[in-house]
Amino acid sequence: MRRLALAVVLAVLAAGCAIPHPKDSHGVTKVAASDAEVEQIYDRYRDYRKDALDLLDEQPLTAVESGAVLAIDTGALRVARRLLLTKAPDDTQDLQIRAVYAPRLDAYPLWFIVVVEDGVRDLTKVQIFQRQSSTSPWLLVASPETLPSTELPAFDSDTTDALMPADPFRQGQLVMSPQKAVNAYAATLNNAAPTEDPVVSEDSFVTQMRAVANKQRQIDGVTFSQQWTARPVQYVIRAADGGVLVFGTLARVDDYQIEEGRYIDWPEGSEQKAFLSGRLYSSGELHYYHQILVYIPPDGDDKPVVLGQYGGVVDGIGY
Amino acid sequence: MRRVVGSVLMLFAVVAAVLGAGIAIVLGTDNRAETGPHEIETSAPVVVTSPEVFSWAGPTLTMRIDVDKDQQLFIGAANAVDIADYVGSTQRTEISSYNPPWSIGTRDVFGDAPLPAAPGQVDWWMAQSTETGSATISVKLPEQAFSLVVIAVGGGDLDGLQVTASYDIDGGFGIGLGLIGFAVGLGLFGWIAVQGRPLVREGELIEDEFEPDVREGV
Repeated sequence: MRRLALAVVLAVLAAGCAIPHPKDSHGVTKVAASDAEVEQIYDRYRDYRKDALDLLDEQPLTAVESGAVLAIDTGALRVARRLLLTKAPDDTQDLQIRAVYAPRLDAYPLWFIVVVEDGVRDLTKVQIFQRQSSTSPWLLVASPETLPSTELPAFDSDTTDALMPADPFRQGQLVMSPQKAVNAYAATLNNAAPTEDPVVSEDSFVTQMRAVANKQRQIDGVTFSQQWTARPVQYVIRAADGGVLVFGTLARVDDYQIEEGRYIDWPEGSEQKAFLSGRLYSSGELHYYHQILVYIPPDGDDKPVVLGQYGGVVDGIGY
Repeated sequence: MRRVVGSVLMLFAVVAAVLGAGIAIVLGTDNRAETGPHEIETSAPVVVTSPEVFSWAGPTLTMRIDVDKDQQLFIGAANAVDIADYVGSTQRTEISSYNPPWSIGTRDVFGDAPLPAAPGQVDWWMAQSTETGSATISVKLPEQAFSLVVIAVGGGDLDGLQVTASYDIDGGFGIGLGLIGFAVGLGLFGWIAVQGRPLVREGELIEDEFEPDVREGV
């Protein structure tokens, strides 16, 4: 009798998952992309990026990038075209995928995170690819870079290893909401000097950006001002320790007002030279985007900290 | 007590036997259950199933669609999130419920936008087929939310659409027979229990039946 029962159980198990059974309990959702799909998407990205670097032309990038990251890369290529006067283009790239993290989402746009090692620049890129609709291509929309020594927090995941996204406007158990943290960074950077009790960390990103601004202020005969604003946060993921990792974008405007009778001759190959073309006699304005990767700790004494950034000039006008 | 347990076992045996026989008869030796053709009334260019229609995973679904013999049609199977976005603004008939062997609920959804791209241009189909007049696809029902879509390609509509569907369950007939065998064994066990006979193994001493050989005097 026992043997018979065992035989039936084994027969049932042998039939495996072909036996009709209720679906998993994740409702109408989709994990944005599998590892194999990410490999294909990234191969396509590498090809287009190589073409863009080869030609020093942003046109190929429009097929694989979007938003602030496309604007930053377009600006970098424009500056590189200026440098081409003295140097040949360098299309070397060594981008190796180290990890893929995809959330389970119930509607488009779909997105996933890929951690990539940039062997040429010795940096780690924490990138987000997004598909806006079911018929649009996957585009790179965020690409903050960290030092290889920077450790990312462990990401929280569900029972199927899918990432757990979080609401950009919800504080929950955090020291502040993701959007507030990015707003706070913009406010901090609008102060030329450190304040007594900052709400975000006075980290290397803040220090570096202030140093750049202070250097511009020292140009003789020029009144320099800088304005930072935060863009709406779209991508937030939960960390295993209860904190979150935020992909934020900051817009920066550098304004130069030149005293009458003076002019600025920008150094050859500089972004100012590329965007403000030649000598600046009256005033000039440069627009930048900075994509930042912010870790917000769970409620406590710690403050939000920038783990990585990717930025550059995107537009300018001067006369 | 023993008789109660025996009766329950026999009841389970009857249920298992009926279930096993049902599976074996419905699936047959080819492990396949088929229904149709059934007509679906629609004047829309797109017919799509809601995710709730396929709430089970495991079997392989084969679906044949017949329309007007000159109408080119596309059948595709994909994650429900992809299909919902794809047909989101297009006029369509949605199959909102299904009960076997064939009972469906439908609703018409109005929209004025064409599909955002030709179905052959998107990359997320699990299975697809484009034919004229009649097309068939086979797909294993996945764990994830899932939908089927039928599209009138190149204009026109799906008037007169007929569906023939079959489910394949690997080893299903064997599972049915196995259940019957299991039921027979279970029933036998229950019957023995109901009879009230003790289970005695050869060579064992039964205390109640032991009568000592006592002789009086010599």
